[in-house]
Parts: sequence; C-alpha cells; structure tokens
Amino acid sequence: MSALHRLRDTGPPETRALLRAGADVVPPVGLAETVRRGVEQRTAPRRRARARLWLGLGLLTGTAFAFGAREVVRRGERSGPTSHAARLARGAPVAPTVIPLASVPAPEAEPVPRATPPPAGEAPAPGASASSRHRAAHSAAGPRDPRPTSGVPAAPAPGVLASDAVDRIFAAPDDARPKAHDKAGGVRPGLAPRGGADEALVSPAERLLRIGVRWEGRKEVSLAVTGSRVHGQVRGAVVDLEVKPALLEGHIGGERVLLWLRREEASGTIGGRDVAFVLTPTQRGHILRGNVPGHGVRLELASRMLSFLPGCERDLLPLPEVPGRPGTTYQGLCPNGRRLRVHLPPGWYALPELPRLIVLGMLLTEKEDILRHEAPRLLPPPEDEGEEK
Amino acid sequence: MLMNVAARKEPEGPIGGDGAPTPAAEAALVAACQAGDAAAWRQLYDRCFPLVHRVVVRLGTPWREVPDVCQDIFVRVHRGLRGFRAEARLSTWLYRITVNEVNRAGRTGALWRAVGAVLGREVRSAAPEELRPDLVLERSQASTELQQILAAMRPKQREAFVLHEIEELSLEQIAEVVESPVETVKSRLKHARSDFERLRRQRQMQAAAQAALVAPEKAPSGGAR
Repeated sequence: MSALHRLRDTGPPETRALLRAGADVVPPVGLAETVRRGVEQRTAPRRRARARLWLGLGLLTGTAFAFGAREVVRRGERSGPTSHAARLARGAPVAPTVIPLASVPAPEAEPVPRATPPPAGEAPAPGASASSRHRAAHSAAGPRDPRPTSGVPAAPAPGVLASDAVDRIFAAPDDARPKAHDKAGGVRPGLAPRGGADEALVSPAERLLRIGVRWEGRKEVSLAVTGSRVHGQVRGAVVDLEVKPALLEGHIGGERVLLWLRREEASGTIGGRDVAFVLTPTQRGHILRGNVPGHGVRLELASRMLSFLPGCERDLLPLPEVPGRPGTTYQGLCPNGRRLRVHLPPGWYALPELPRLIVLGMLLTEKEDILRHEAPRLLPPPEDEGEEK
Repeated sequence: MLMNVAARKEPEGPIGGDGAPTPAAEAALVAACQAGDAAAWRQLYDRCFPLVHRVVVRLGTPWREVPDVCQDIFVRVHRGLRGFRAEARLSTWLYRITVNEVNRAGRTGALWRAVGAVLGREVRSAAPEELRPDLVLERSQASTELQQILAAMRPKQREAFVLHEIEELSLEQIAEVVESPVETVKSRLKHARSDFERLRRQRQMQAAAQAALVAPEKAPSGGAR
C-alpha cells in the first residue's frame, strides 16, 4: 500500500489546525432518526410492490408502443420510397403488360375541350374518342402499372396455395337460392333479387372476364367490365359505374355516384355525401386513400401484392399466371381468419388507374365488423353463411 | 438465515473509523441484514450514519440537501445489501455509494439551477443558508471555514482530498472507491492539496483585510469614550 503523508500531520501549522479542528461533523439532533424513518418508508415491502406494479405497467406500455410504432414504420416503408438494395431484396420491379387499346371496345363520347394541348409524344391519334384519349393519357403511366408480368409463370410465393387447392377452399356455396327477405316486392330501389339471372347465367369462362371477389364462406361477388363500364350486383345492390373523361359516374344500390377525376385526385358525392380519393404512386404500384359513405378507404395495389383497409390488412399475393386464364388473381388469408380471392380481369386493367382503383376500393373495403350494420354504408352488409339473421 | 443480533457481541466503533469491526463481525452483520433482520439493519444504520453524514457534508452537499442525500444513500444501501458479496470491505462499498450519490445529487442540483436560469427563476443556492448566523454559530468556526474551502474546490479533487485527509483512506482504497487508477488519485490529490493551500491563504488574507477595515472604525469610538 503506497503511503503518502497527510497534511493534518505534516502540513503547515494553520492547515493542520484547520483540518484537525474541522474534521468532525456532528449530525444535527434528530437527523439520523428522520433519515432512518424515511429510508424505512421507502424500502417497505408495500412500496416495493407498488414500484414493481408501476414498472410492469411501464414495460407493458413500452412494449405495446414499440409494437405499434413498428407497425407504423412497416406501413410507412411499404408506402414510401425504398432503397435500391431493398427493392432488389424484394424482387426487381416487373415490366408491365399493356393491353392493346384496340382490343377494348369503348363507347364513343362527346369530346371534351382541353385547355392545354397534350405533349407531342403522348398525343392520341386524330379522331380518337375522348375516352380513348383519357385512357391513353393514363396508359402513359405504364411503368407504374402493377399488373404482374406475363410470359414465364412466376413461382408461387411462400404460403400461396396451388390453384386447385384454392378452388377446393372456395368451393362454391349453393347459390341462386333467394333469401327470405329478398322476395319480390321486399327489395328497396336499387336492390335486385339475389342470385338473379345476371349472376346465375355467368359461365366459368365469362367469370374470368369479370371482377371477382370471393370471401371464404360467402357468396362470390362479380362485376362485369365492359369497355368503360363496370356493372353487376353486390349482395343484391345494383352497381353500374361508367368511366368517362374526367368523370366516374353511375349508381350503387340506387345511390348516385358522381366523382370528378383530376390527375391523381377525385372528389364528388355518393348518395349526396361528399367523398374524395387521392392516388399516390409508389415504387411498385399505387396507394389509394379516400372515403366512401360510412368508412375510409385505403387500397394498395403493387406488382406482387394487394391489400386494403378496412377489410384485409394483410397482403394478398398473386397466383401464378396460367395460359388461357386471363387476368390476375390475388389470394391470401386475411386477419379475420377468412381466405379471400380477388380476380381482376384484363378489362379492368384497361381502365384508367384512378377510377379503376376507386371501383376496386369501393368494392373490396367493408366497414369494421362491429359497425357492419350501422348506417351510412355504401353496400349492403355481407352475410356469412350460417349466420343467424 | 435469521440471526439474533442482540445476543451477538456488538462490533466496536463506527465502520471505517478507529476501532472498526473485524471483517467477521462485519460479515455477520451484513448476513443478518440480508436475512431481513430489522434489528441488524438498525444497528448497521446507526454505525454507518455518522460516516455517511460526514462525507456527504464534506463533499460539498448543501446543508438543505444533506438529509435527502443521506436518505437516498441508505435506500441504495438497503437495496444493494442483498447483492453484497463481501468482496470489498463494507466501508469501501459505503464510501463508493456515498461518493456516487453525492455526485448525482450535485448534477441534479446543477440541472435544476440551469433550468431555473432558463425559465428566469432563480433557484436558491446553498451559500446564503450556509452563511446564516444561527447555522454558523451551531458549527465551529474551523468547521465552517473548512467547509467553505472544500466547497470552492473542484469536485474530483475534493473527493480525493476528503477521502485522504479527513477520512484517512489509503490511495488504493480511494482508487477503489472512485473507481480510478491509483496514479490518477495521486495526481488529483496533489492538485487538491495545492488548491487547498491556495484557498486557505486567500481566505486568511481576506480575513486580515476585513480586520484591518474594522479596526479603524472601532478606534475613534473607543477614543471618545
């Protein structure tokens, strides 16, 4: 042990006196007792139990927040720009498939005067209809077209079932059986009897040319796409929408739909209620955000996934393309435990991006289960098979 | 393990001071505390409190905050006793907790003073209270003077100085307490000593100057009488 002299022994006399005289500090009377009581109170078992409870609650809250934050970050990553490395890790972007415009019959419409002439490279042929010009303008955004590539069929993604297995899962329920409350005369305007001729007479081949939405345990919903029209029935509600230049109009279940389209935005009314949509391009596709009467809408369609809120937050993955089966089919298991399959025909892809995603958003999204029977709502609530009415 | 502390022979003298208990007695006391013996805890507390209080005061803690700092120290001791493995002497462990807690309290106080300065509220410093006549009278003049010199020193040097000159710890013990190499402690101590001498001389000169100012004022009144 190294020894070092101390000032109190060897220092100057004044220092020695100061250190010797002032070294002792006598605690004030009662201080020791006061401090001891405080210590005993703070270290009492009851206090420790309370501290543990607070600690546990804090940990719980922190964990919940961390998981919530992670989910928010995950969504942000999905919608925001991604790095080149991240894109490579997820798979290179897929070249789009452009449907020849000539193959899509489009009704003639009155030309709409344009304030500014289109760019030279994008100018449609003279004499082309307004709707085809509109379609051509949207087709210019081809690289963002989320449709999977054609040609070599892609290998099924992990968790994707083979087509026949999916078909077994979605074995058609005995349809065309009218429900008790759908009797003629008991249907409100805009609602058609369920299982009408429009649905019953559709052949499987024709079905592939329609937008199809099949939830496990529910009847399939399918809408025909004819040129710029989307029409059919959704749970008894007649849907008839037409995409016009700068306009999406028609009816859903007797409610008038009128949406003005301007670049990446749409606004207007559905059944007299104000609605609006915004389309945001992402690296791999598009995100549509907006609202319909009764709920908000968020739909993301990318080259290899489809998801929408509320309804199915989880990604639906595309089935491998099969020669002779036109269109793309997305399928997956949703958080509510139901499998879902969505078929998008070539005619749907031929529509401009904004209105076609709005149609899909209106068709797919559903109010939360707890609110499903509350007004207002865009479409009749889904009825699960075996559900008591 | 429960132990009847009352029946055991009490260790003599405060821990760390003259007549410190033997390591065996110290270990027995700690073991009884670890077993939840309240009487043993009080015995330990009574023996440690003077040491802790003395070091807390000498390390420059404002008088107002001394009870709180002492309480924090003993709460830490109470909680830490369960994990105390007697690898170091109890006194060394106690010194380390005390020094750390005093430093923490000093940082907190500085933070509050900074916050007060930002918000435009002046946080009352300890100095005016220390100069209160009633408190000054309670303590001896030498103790007050020593306290004021120590308060003017830099914290790290004050630690080394107090532990060596007042608590009479060896350099190795101080190094263990402050968790620094012995050479560092030696260097701090060297600077602390020169600072202490310088500050003492300054105060001496100030006192002489004050005495010189007061003396001529008293002289005429004495002459008139």
